Amino acid sequence: MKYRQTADRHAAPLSPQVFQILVSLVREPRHGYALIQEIRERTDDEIHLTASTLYDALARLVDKDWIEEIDGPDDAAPAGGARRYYQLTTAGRKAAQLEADRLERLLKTVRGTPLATRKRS
Amino acid sequence: MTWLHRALLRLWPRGRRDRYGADISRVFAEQRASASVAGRVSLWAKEIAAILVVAIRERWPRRRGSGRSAATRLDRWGGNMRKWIVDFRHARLALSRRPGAAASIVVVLTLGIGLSTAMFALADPYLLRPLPYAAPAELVAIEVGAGGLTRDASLPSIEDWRARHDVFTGIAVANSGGSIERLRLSDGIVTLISQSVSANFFEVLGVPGPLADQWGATAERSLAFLPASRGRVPDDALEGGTLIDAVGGGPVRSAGTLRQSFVLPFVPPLEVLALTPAVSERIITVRAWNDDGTVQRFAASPLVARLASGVTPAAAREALAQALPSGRRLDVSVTPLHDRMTDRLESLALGALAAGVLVLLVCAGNVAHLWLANSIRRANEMATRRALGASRLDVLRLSCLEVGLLVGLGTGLAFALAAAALIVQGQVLPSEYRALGAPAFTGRVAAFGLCAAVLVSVLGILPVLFRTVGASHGAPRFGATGRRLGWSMRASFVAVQTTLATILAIGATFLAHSYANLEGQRIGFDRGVIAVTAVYPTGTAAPAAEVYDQSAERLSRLPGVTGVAIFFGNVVIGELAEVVGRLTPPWLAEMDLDGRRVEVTTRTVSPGFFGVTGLAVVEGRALQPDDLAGRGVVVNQRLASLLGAEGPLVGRVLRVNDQQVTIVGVVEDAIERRFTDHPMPTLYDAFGTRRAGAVTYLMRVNDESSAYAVPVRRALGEVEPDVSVIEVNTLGAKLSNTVQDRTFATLVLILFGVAGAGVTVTGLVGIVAFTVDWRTREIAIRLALGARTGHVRWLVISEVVLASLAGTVTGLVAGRWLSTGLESLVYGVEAGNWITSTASAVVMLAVAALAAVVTARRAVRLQPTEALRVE
Repeated sequence: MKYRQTADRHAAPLSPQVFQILVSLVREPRHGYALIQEIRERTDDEIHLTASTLYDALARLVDKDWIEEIDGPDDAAPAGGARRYYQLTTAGRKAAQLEADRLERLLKTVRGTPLATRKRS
Repeated sequence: MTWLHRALLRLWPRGRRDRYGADISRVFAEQRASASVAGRVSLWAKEIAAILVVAIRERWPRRRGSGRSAATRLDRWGGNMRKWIVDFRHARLALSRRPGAAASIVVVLTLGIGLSTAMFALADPYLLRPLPYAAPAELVAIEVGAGGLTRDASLPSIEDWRARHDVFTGIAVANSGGSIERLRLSDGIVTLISQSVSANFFEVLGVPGPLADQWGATAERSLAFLPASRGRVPDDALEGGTLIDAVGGGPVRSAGTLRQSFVLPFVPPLEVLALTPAVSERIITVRAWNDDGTVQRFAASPLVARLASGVTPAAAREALAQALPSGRRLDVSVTPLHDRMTDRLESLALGALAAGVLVLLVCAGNVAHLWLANSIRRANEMATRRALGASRLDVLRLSCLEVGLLVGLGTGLAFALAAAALIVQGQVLPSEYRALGAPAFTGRVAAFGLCAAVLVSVLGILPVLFRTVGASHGAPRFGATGRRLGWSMRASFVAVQTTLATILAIGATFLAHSYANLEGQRIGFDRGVIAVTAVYPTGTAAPAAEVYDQSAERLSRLPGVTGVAIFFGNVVIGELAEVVGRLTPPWLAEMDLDGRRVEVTTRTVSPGFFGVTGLAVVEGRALQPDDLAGRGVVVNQRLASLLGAEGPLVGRVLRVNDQQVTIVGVVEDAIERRFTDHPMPTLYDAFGTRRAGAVTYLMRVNDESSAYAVPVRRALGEVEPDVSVIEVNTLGAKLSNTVQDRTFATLVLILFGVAGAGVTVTGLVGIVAFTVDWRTREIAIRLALGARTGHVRWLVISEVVLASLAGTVTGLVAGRWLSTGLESLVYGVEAGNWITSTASAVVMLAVAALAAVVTARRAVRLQPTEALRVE
């Protein structure tokens, strides 16, 4: 089966870690540790990022202009100094939306097959 | 652990680290704080892996389109591997084309590396292996001499020395000499030698001792058995706590057997099999004083001490050398224990090591010689490879692969040879040489073997590398072989190799000749006569004089025995001299010789002694039964020469120990102690005291190789149950044992000589084969042009023989010159012996000629077309 090629679909699929970071930032800006915690809870502990993996991904997303660094609220600054918060840019939101669409289309292709009825143990 | 995380992050590029490092550390710390112990371990593992992955990716980014994608890299790797595999096949093919040449290099490597490794293993216990004691560097041996001691001086006391806590943390005493233990066990009476040591002996050495509750803590005397007792003393006695009946000395209690790794910190004159706690501890015992109050005879106990922290042996010596009334200071020496235990054999160990290194160098020289010859022979092939586009590296890789193949094979075989040589060494090594443990194929020995292999490979291939690199410059030079390999080049290869082989063969023959002399020297007695050394109780429990005659009569009825004589003492004394000597009557007597008092050795024997031992009567007659009453004696030639040639000796009356005796015969001199000792003036009589503790029965037998030990013990036990038989051995073997050290040193040298000669002779065969191979093309052309095969064969052989002759003559002169240096080291051979050296030289010439004949025959049998294709 051949994918229909559109301008929006030229982008390569995102890695699960990057996609989850983008999804996590859709509702509100978050700092590093909050991102890890939120992703962990939302994925039911399936994706557990380490600090280095997270910031490696964040650095690349910043370089791509999909997210940007912002200052956190003053009352959230711990003893070690102010945390760096990250929020989605328009490009980042679009990239996340495209990846969600791609995954949904992918899922449609398997609906109606025995694979779709299989329940996770 | 934060430091570790920060340190790992330093692997990241600086920009990335500066920007995110602090945030990462903070988040990682928060993650760890909220994780369980197992979770932290998992977290650390994931974090380290993540840091490393990022570090690798950021520091060595893939260049797009640079041809370094995974597939391309795999291809390149595969290409390199293919190159190696192809080169490996070429190397194997090149070697299999000349199996003789390859085999000669492998044999040279096997002999050289294998035997040098075996020699290193021999030297290892004395040079590198640490003593098997706790902190051996703190242990010292203390020896005391009698110089300056006078009757009015107080002898040093062990208690005073032990009180010097500032110098020693402990001093142990091993009393001088040993004692004969005669233990009544399940196998009958077992005789062994014990040594008394102080109770703190094992504590000072820092080794596990015997059973603490049995060692010196029981009402009976304790006996701790050394590991060597296993198999020689019944197992029931070796069990700790066993009560053993000791003949003539009351019961003793076994304190068990010491660990297998235990070695005595001194080398006793006799083989000690058990230790017993000392009743009294003395540093020095004076046995006899001179009239002027100085010491005539004394015995000093070996002492082992552990130095206090920071004390040197010199400082300890200074502390012990007390002032004496004679104005001198006590003669005391303090030596590191390792030096004391190895000093006697260190020179032999160093000699073995030096010999091993020499063999290795000879081997490397031979490999280089053979390989150089091989590379010159293949110069055209290499030039062709270069012309077809092979790089210098490709040519080098091929050469290295060929050498690597041969070295790998040679080293494997060498290790097998070394292991076999160690097994043989284990059989022939005298117990004296195992005082620090037997040579073994340890990791250190294997490492030496591997280093030897690397050394030989590097030294062997260096000339070839230089040549290959040099030849690879500029345009390939075809036909270089023809120019370079003229007659002079081939001849010089053969001549140099023959010279080396001749020198080493002369050395090996020289040493083998010495060994044969040592073993085959005339000793006066027939070597095949069996001597049975038996010890009887002395004092009130001594057996009646008739017991000896009855025992001799009983032995004469054993199958195969044709005659038995008695010697009251230990004939061919050997290593039991010191202990048995105490049980025999005094041997020395004073004889009045024209107003001079001469010391002679007296031997009391039964009348049939000379007939049984084969000691030849050169004048008069042997002893007869009536000489007991008539006080007839027989003298040896040495004493006869002292007595002078004035008138006939037989019938002459002598005065010995103030008693008159009459000479009835003269016998030849016999060697009774060591080969190297001169015969003493000796007087044989039949009337001396017969109540000796030690007696030797001499049996002339039909077959000396038969096992007589068991029937002899049984026969003697039937006459006197309390007898203990110490040794049953031929006189030849007993005498050989007395020169074991010398025999062994000669054997080591022979091993070196044979290894060196073997290496060079193999190299010679290889070189001759190479030089004839070089001429294959020339031979083919000659044959194609109509030359007769006989003529061509003669042409090849004559060239080799002429070159070998030059090498042999040079080797003969050099070998004989070097042999003069060996003269003082070996026994009974003179360097001026032309027969030995000329025979070796002739053999080398014959080997070279034979190799030439075989190779030339093969070369002329080749079809000209095949021969021309060889290159």
